[in-house]
Amino acid sequence: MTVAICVRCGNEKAGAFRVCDHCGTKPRTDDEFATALALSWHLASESELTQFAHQLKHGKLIIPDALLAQARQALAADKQLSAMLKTLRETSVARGSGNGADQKQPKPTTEVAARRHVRSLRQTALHRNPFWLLGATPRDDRRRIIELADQKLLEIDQEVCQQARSDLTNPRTRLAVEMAWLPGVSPNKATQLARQVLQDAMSVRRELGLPPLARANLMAAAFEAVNGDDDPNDVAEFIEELAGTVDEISAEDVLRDLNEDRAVSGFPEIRSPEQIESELTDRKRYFRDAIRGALDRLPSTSLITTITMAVTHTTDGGQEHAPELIESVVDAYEVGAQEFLQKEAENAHRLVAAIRAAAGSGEDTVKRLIDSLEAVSRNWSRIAQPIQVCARARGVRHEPSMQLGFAIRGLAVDLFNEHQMLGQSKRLTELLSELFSELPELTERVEQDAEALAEITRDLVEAESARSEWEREITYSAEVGAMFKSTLSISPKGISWQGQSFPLEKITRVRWGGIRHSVNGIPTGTSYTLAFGDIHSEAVVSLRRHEIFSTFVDKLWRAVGIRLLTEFLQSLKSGKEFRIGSVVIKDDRVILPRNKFWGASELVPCTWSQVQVWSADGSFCIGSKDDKKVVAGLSYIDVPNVHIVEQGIRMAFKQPGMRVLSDLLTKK
Amino acid sequence: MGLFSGWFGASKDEKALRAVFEKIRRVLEDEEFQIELLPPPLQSILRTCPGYDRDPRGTGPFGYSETNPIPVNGPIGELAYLSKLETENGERILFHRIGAIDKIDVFEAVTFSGTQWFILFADMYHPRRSRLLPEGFRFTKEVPQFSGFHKRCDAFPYDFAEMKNADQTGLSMAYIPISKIAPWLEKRAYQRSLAHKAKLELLNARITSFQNQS
Repeated sequence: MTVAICVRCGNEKAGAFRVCDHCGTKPRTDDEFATALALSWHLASESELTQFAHQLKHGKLIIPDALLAQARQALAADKQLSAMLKTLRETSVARGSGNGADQKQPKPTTEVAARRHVRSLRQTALHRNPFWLLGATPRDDRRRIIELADQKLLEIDQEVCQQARSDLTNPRTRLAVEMAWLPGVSPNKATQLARQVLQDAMSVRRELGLPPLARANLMAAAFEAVNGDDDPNDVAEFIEELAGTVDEISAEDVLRDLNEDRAVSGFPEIRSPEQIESELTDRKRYFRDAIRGALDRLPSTSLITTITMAVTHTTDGGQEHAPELIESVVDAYEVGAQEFLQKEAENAHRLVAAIRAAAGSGEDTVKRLIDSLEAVSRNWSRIAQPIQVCARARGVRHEPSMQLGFAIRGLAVDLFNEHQMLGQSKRLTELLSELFSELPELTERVEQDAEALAEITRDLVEAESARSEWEREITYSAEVGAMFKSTLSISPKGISWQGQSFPLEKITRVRWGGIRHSVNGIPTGTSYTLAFGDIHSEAVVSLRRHEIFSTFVDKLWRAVGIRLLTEFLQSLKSGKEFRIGSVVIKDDRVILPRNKFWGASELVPCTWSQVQVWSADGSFCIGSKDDKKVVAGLSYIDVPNVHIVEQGIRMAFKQPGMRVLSDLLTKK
Repeated sequence: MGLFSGWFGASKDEKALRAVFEKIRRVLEDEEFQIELLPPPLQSILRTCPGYDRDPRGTGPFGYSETNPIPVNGPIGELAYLSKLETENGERILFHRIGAIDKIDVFEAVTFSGTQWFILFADMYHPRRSRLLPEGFRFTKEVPQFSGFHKRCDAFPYDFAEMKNADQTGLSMAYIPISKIAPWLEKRAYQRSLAHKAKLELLNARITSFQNQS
């Protein structure tokens, strides 16, 4: 039984509000508490939790509004619960596991932090800063800097020492050096923090309360300690922390901090925030490069997992803008991944073409090729996912993904439309839903396709079910004959009688009827005739048992009659005419004989509105409404297909304003 | 009781019965007696602790917050205090101790009819019980027979009868008869609200972590 799933990574955890053992996330804000409660057994069923976990792992969590509303209401309505959650939030912050209650990004928890091992560094970019090299502080004046440089000449390379002195004393270069150090931090604390980076790099992540630029500089230095042994979840969180910190940097605050130091050191005051903004651009580039450098030291799989997690989490699965730093990291990642993506895209497009070409060879071949396409597409998606999510968050589309997605979608459509490969088409559609969920335009189309395919599948199932029902309904056999019995049988395979077999689809004529017998007015029973045949021959069954006759006629009508009637109407619609007995039937009229006492009958064409029909003496009669001599009788028992024709005409006569018989095919 | 008992004094049976009733009364009401029933080391601890109606440094709603627990005189004092509570609708509560956060005991409670659920916090390290009430409660005028336990009930409150019968402390005679809650037990009337479940989850996590640490 799943108790709860993590709101971030979708893995199982022991309780809605607990820390995720997998990624270290713990809900902190009201929204996160509500989501966590919705993603727990308190509100969701086991199957819903499984579905949410799947969605989270693919970056697209959809929680029903009603579920979230229920969770929010429960949290808001109970004062004691609100107080408990507040305590939980404050405890988390006090433990240094986050920057504040309303900060969106989860920060590393004590559990995750505990797993980090202490690691030392020999040097970082921070330790190549002239302040560190000379042992100077931002409050030292020009004279003190020169003194310190002179002292350091014996310890460090002369050229480096002179450059450091020049960078610190030259107003043009000093600003960049100041901003790369720890602005706003007291000199002693700054020295201690710089040492701390060398001794236990990751410990600086717990240094809250520092000015954002100083904290970002420390964290960027600590990024130099990230290596291939690091857990991708932890690195992703570290990236998020740095990105969040960089977003908090304010040029005005930095200006104020630097000018406070300059007031002591005697260097000229910085006049405009624009100077700071310009330097900040360079710092942001440095932060991006620090993250890139760290990512490059990770194994490929960890690198992809890390960047995907960072992007997915900070954009809420592509719903919100990513922090600026994350966007620039993803841009750099995209440049690096371009060659790979291009090659994989070419492979995928080649496979799509190969599947189209092989579609005529049968489903087995296509299936094997689709296996390969799936593997390539999964590979593609794994690499492209952070780019897709970031693009979605920016409101743009990732063109190569769109092209590949639509190529696969087109293939899925063609496989069904042109080759009736419903199973493979559905498979591709499901693959698209899973892999390209970050592309809204494609997703919308794919969802429509999936719905259409689901409907077709349903129709096929229903048709299959109806066919089974029909097969059951028409199957019948009976022994006919008083002394020498023969089997009369009808089934989907056809009708058999005394060694003659007619497949159902070959049967072109049917007739049946009964004749009552009597002697001197006393009924002596009824004999029945059934006949059916194709264009070459006919089988005739004579029997006396009404039960067998009526049952067989019912089966015969279902098995053959309906088809013959449809074919009869379709032929009329296409302009053909039928001669049955003495009658010629056309779509819009019937030609009847005018019977004369003397001489041959003449043929009279009548529209359907000019005639009437009735049954009499074992015949189906058609006669003119105006001329009683214009009439014809068609014996049910002797003339083939009279029952079919009668059914068609009688049904058509029920249509208001009927003009042609084939209207039956189109009108409801 | 015999015909002449009123004239010549109570019979031996009646005296024994009265003694039992008196003991029950003292178990339910007598704060000093409730302490005397405890192991001597705990008695001495309770007697050295301050007695007051509420912690002067307490914060948060009285009884509903671990930072402002109900002061009571030991574990029997907890049973006595909670068993005296009834809601403003006149409904008494069933309760059990789900654990402790540090030295504060956490009780889950529900009205006899199952309509309201509560989480209450009590601090048993005091020589007497508080005369104050958590918001929404008053003291019952019924005989406050015990209606809860100082242990965790896994199937609370459906296992009330089993817990009462399994009691090894000799207090079972002081408990309410099962018939008082039988109709609701039979109707399975006890369904926790979503908010209450969330609170239990939060508390259980903390109680577990505390026990693991100790």
